[in-house]
Amino acid sequence: MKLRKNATIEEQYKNVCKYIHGFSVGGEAILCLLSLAMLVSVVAQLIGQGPFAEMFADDSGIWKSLYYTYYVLLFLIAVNFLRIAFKKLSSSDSPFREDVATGMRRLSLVLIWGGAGSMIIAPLLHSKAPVVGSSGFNLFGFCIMVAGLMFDAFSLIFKYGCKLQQESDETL
Amino acid sequence: MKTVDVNERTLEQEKKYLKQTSAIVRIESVCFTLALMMLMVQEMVSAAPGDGESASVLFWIKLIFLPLQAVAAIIVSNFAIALFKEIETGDTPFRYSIADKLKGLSNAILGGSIIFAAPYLVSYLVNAFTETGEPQTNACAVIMLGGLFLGVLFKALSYIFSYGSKLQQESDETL
Repeated sequence: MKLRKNATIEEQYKNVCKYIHGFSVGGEAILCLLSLAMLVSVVAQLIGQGPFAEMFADDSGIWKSLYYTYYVLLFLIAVNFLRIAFKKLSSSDSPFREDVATGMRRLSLVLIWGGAGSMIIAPLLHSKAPVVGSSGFNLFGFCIMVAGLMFDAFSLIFKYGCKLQQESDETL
Repeated sequence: MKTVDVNERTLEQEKKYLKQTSAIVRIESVCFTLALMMLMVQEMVSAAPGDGESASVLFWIKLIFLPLQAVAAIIVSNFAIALFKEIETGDTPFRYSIADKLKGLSNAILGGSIIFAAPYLVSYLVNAFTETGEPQTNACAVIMLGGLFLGVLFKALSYIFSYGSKLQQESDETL
């Protein structure tokens, strides 16, 4: 991340946001391809033939496919919201905008509900296919929920920032 | 139950919701760190070789890195807890001290991801040079990429908070 020595704060955050936007675009492209592959795998497992049917060619194939499909789709949706928020952050005059705060809130809701879903699905799928998921407490799902709550806090901070920005603009 | 539309909340109501959410995040961070450390110990205990069996190279490498990983998890969690405690107790979330804590958290996450990925990288290198034939995973790449992404994300947030602190300072001076 090359910055001028005396880059302003605005230039600093816009530069970093551009990198995050770039990462998100790349990540979303990979996740799109993965989710397509996983969905085809699930369908192939259900009908018992076709491409990717051999991907998880064992008794627990369908459950493994469902397990990975859940996470791939969850992260695809989350990265999409992240990409949109950081695109707006890198291209607008101020980071404190309603649409950025709304985007962060949507991301937080996806992560919170996705994490909660993971904590229910992982033990269920673990009982069907012991190689995936975990019995009892699912730490990964809990981690996703904590991340969701963090983003919820940041969305509230951004909303506060919007009001501050509005007051500053009105004063000017 | 009387509810307030999200868009019509006043500044004071936003602050109140923020304090409540920050308190929950703090508690969850503590729970997460404790659960992670218990899980790490449980994984090592369950992977320990039985009578007459020899442990894999990865097991020994993970055992060596376990204390470092525990320290890294505590440091990252400490930064997160301190950050949200400061957000919870201050009048405004836009202070330079909070921006500094965010920067510290991003550095801690970057360092922590290296420490958590190190056992897998060392195991890969040992396997490459000694050809032990043990199955390798791509956990190293996943942890490094995830840590790098999160670290850069928090770095961006620290710059945004610095901008917000500047805005807050101008607002206070105007008042």
